[in-house]
Parts: sequence; C-alpha cells; structure tokens
Amino acid sequence: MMKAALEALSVGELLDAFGRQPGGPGGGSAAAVVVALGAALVEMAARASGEHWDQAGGTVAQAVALRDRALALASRDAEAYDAAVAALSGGGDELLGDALARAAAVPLQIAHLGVDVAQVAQLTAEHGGADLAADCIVAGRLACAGTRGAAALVRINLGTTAADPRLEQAAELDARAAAFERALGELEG
Amino acid sequence: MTVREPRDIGDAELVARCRRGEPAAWAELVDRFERYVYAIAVRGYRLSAEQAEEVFQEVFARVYEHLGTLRDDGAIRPFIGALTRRLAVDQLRAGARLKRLGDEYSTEHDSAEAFEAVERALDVQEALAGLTGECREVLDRFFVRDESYATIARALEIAPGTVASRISRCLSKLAKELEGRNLGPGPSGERTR
Repeated sequence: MMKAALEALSVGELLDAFGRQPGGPGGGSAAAVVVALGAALVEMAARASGEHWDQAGGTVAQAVALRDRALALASRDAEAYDAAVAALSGGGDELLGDALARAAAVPLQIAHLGVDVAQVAQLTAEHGGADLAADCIVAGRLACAGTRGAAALVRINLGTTAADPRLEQAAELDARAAAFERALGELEG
Repeated sequence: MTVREPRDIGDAELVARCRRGEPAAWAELVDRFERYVYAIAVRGYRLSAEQAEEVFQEVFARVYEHLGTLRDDGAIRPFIGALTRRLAVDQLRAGARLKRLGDEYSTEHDSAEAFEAVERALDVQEALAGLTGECREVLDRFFVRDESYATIARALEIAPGTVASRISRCLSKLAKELEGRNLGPGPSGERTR
C-alpha cells in the first residue's frame, strides 16, 4: 500500500495500514492523524456555530487548513521514517543518527500543528455553540495528545544529538500542550 | 539598531534589499512567492508540473531583471501575479498548438474550470488589496506560508492566543470585500453566489 495515500483511505483501511505489519505508518503518522481528527471536529463545531459567533467562518477556514497540513504530514512522517530505517540497514551509527535527526523534523511540525489545533479548539469551545463545547474539548484533547506524542518522537529521534535546539522546541510544545489540557479541563466544568 | 531578518520584513523592504544585492533577501523573496506562483500556474491555469516549473523559472528571472525598474516596491505581489498569469497563458498557447482537434471538447471543458479558478484567484487577489497591510500579512503567513500561530505571533509581536481571532476577523473582511464583487467564496470556502 502506498503510504502517500493515507488521506485517501477509509477508517478501516487506515487502521489496517497502521496495524497489519511493521514497516507501515507508525507513531508520527498516528499523531498527525489524531491532530487532523481534532481539526475536523473543530471544523464541524465552528460550522454549526455560525449563527451566533461572528468568527465561526474564519475558524472553519483555519481548521480546514490545519487538518490538510496534518494529513500531509502523516504521509511525510512515514516517508521520513522509511529513510531512517534504510539508513539503519545500509550504514553505521553516524548515518543512522543523521537520518533520525532529519526524521525528527516532521514530528516537530506535527507537534506545532497540534498546539495550533488545540488553540482553535479552545477558542471554539469558549465562543461556539454551547451544545458543541464537548466536541471541542475532545478535539483539543486529541490535538494535545498528538503534540505530546510527536514531541516524544522528537526527543527519541534526537537522543544522540543532545545539543539540537529542536529538543528545546519539543519540550516547549509539550509544555504548551499540557497547559491547553489544563485549560480544556477547566472548560469541562 | 537591529537589522531584521528578511523573513520578518515587509514586501517593500524585501525588494529594496534584493536591489542592494543581499542574497538572503533574494532567497526570502523566492521563498515567499514560490507557492503563489505555483498556485496560479497549477491551480489557476492547470499547467503540468513541467510547464509550471518553466513559468516559475521565467517569472523569477524577469523579476530579477526588473528589480531596478519597479514603480512600487510594495506592489511586488500583484506584479508577480500579473507576470505569472501572462506567462501561464503563453504556456497554454504553446501547448494548445500541439493539441489535436479531437481534444477540443476536453480542452474547452478544462479551460472553463481553469478560468473559473483563475477568476476566483484574481478576485481574491483584488479583495486582498482592499485589506489593511496587517490583515494581508496575517492571511499570507497562515494560508500561503503555512506558518504556525506561534511563528506568526513572534513575527507580528502579538500574543499567540490572539492570532486565530485576528485571522478570522481578517477573513471576515476579505469575505465582505468579495461579497462586494458578488463573486467570491465565504470564509469557509463556500461560494456565495
């Protein structure tokens, strides 16, 4: 199965792609899909909030953009991880370290996206329709989970390169996701 | 005084720096408008990847040649947009000469779609010109350059929590501009006509 076509799969096919065999899409792609799911929920909630929230349309547009970016990263992460695995089989530790460091770039982007989705989820929970707040809280929590998972991948992939500034960025994003989780918890009442 | 990075400056200053021969400024200019050029060529005119690449190369070659004769440095975007459209049409004409008569129907059909897309792109471009520079920049950074809220907040020196709201407000203004033309999409991407 072509990993580049992750976004074209049904839910069942997507789960099969993740679950059936090693070498398919992995943790980074899963984090990206989770972020995309969060964005899609925000999109739905914002669409349904148009009557009483003047920023609903703009939030829909942002959610759609974030969802599309997350899905694109789901495929790119699988490709980057493949490159790292190829380096593992074809080169020494140094080559693998380089490949993993490059592979950390995509999870870092996923972590950024998750925080952005959490932000629009919180905004929509606060200003959108009251009956949709629960969906927004789920959306935000999914996005935070995606960020924290992706940040973990950054730490793992950069394990041998402690001086890389992306480690600090990943820690900051992890902390921001934790802060959003607390804020969303307060919205649960 | 701190010299700002090319990615943090407006279009006019960027063009001025390009004219002074700063390589980093030229790299930023290409980076800033690359997707814009490809969007017009591929989405607007349905050019193939090869044709779009030719347009891309020619656009930036001509921009470089004309750096010294631009009438308004701040209007580099509409200049690049107009240039891209002209060169894309040249590509279509060149391609059309090679087509057989049997392709006529599909060409007509595809052209209708392509020109509708171009029409919308031009409407959006004109509507953008009616917004404040602040709005144009925030929309460009989020939707064209795919920047995160945190990056946008740093560049514009605003609180990260206010970026999404600012984008929404600017999209509402853009939608009103487009409605004034009775053509455009609403902020959700749905056509209002």
